[in-house]
Amino acid sequence: MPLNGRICFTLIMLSIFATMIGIALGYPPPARFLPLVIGIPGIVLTVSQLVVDLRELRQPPPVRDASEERDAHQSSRTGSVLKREIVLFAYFFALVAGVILFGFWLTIPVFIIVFLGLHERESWRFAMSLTIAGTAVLYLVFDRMLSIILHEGFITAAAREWLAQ
Amino acid sequence: MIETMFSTLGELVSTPRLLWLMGLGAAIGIFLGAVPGLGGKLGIALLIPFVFGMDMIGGAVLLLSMHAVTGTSGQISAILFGVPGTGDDAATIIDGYPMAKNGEAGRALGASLVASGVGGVIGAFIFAALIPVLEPLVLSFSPAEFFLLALLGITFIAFLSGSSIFKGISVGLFGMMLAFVGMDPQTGIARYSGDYLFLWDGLSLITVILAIFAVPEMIALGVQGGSISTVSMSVAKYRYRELLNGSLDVFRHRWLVLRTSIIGAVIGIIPGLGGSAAAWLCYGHAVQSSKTPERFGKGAVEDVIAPETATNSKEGGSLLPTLFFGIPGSSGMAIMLGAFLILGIQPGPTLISNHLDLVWILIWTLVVANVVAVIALLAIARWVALLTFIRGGRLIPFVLILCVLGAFLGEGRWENLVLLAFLSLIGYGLLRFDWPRAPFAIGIVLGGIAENSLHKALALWGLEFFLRPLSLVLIVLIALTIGWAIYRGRQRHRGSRAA
Repeated sequence: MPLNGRICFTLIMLSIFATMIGIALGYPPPARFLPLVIGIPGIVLTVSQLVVDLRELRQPPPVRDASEERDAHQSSRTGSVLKREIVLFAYFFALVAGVILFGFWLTIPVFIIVFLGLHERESWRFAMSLTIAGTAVLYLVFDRMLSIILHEGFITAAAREWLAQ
Repeated sequence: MIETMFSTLGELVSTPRLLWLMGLGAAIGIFLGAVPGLGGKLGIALLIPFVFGMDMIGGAVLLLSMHAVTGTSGQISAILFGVPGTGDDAATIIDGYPMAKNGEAGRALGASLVASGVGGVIGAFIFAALIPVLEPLVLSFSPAEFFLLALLGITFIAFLSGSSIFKGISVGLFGMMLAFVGMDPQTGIARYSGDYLFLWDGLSLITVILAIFAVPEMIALGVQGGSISTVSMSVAKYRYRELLNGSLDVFRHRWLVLRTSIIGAVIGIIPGLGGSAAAWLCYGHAVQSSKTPERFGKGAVEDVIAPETATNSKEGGSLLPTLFFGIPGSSGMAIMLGAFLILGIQPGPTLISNHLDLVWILIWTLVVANVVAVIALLAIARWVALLTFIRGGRLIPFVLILCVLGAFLGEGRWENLVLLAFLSLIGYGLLRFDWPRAPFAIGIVLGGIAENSLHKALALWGLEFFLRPLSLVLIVLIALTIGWAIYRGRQRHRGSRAA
């Protein structure tokens, strides 16, 4: 029986509840009372959902109509959904990692131009103008108007200190 | 009293300086509300240095008009991109964003903006009406009632689960489990936090909401391609008529508006429950009281109306204990209280006898600032709604950057970015595999309140807290809610079998 995404996700939810209950068992009784009261029914319900998912898996797949068949064909031509999801999450994680390491003001323009230029295949001129406009608006609002100090980035801060010495 | 009421309104609208300060406050509030992670608290903190040296009335008008409208603009990004301005706006996403996808962004914006304005105005009038009976009302709520109110909200999860009851309740319980992250209120032990200090105060609500709602929507938009609106621009109507239609929806659901305004204002009066609780309780109430609850989550206008009305009406309510007892009704009001003290406003019961004119000016500020904000936002909403037709790929980088900024600005901690990335994977899984996400938000908002209040109530009264008069009323309400959910479920089951 193949493991599909639906079942995998239910298993993930089940493992989250199980882990949280396992951790809660190490706490003193007053601190673990409510996590157990909430977590144990959570396990029961996710196990019930797992049973529902497994039953659905055994049933024959529904017959596709013409439009669904066309969508599926188009999807196979443009790359699998999973591949697109992985690529988009990779961009998002790169944004988060970039902000943590290099700070907002270095990461934001790089992220916008790379996303628009490489992922969206926009012309570089268009990507560049949107990058400049977007970064300028964010800089004016957060840095100049509100004087909010954004995260500088660990590598940027270290590099600045090294250069200052 | 009546004379003071009208004379203060005349003073407010006929004094150019006060009008200018109110307009400025409303404009700042609209901006701060629209940017995820900023919100009214930051606004008050930013404006405090500017009100030093101002007269009492001018400073209070500037601060209150700014704070009153932050909830009004946060819904724009919530409806158009699924990105809430603050945690309070998260409930609006559940149906507001599907409405934008269905090509009804104009209607959703019209309904939410007018609902906010009407909620704010009703909240101000409730403020005025409750002044004489405030003390017994506030004192009748104790941790026992807080716990039962939170429990009542949690029972709404049964209504929000739709056909997948296992998934819905599991997600609600998962939200509650995440609410336990941080210091245990009874033992002081850091639960699920390890050595990470940033988790000791609990998870940042705005980070969690962005991760579960906003980031997954943007990833899904990128995967499917096209624009946010799945309806073409030629089919969708983005005329002012569409905004007007949405505005009229508020009056078509006038009883819902009235009920949620009252609920919002009462929750605002009770210190400690907060705006997110008001929004989610009213969202649950809208689902529970609807004849067609199956429409919720797919673009029901009532869901846009109910939380927005509650969010703005609670501002009037939360001002009451702040002004007359010196007890802030929300964290925003706690900062406001500090600002009032700086301005020389001494909160307490004597305020009503010594400074009745100031009290009425503040009430009218709430009313006029809300009306001004709604008119200004309605004027631009038609153009803002057009953003839903821009190809998703051009919007995604900017919206993801806003999400990252929102997660950072909420508490100013980079660690929340790691949390955002991790939880967005779970949020996307919930979206991808049809697990309802609204119960999660109810769980995380009300779970912490329920636990804190339960421990306090048990310490004060033991199990006898269930026998307090107001507790008994709330227990009956909870029982009725559960009974109603079971009855509805059976009816739906019979209907589907008959079909």
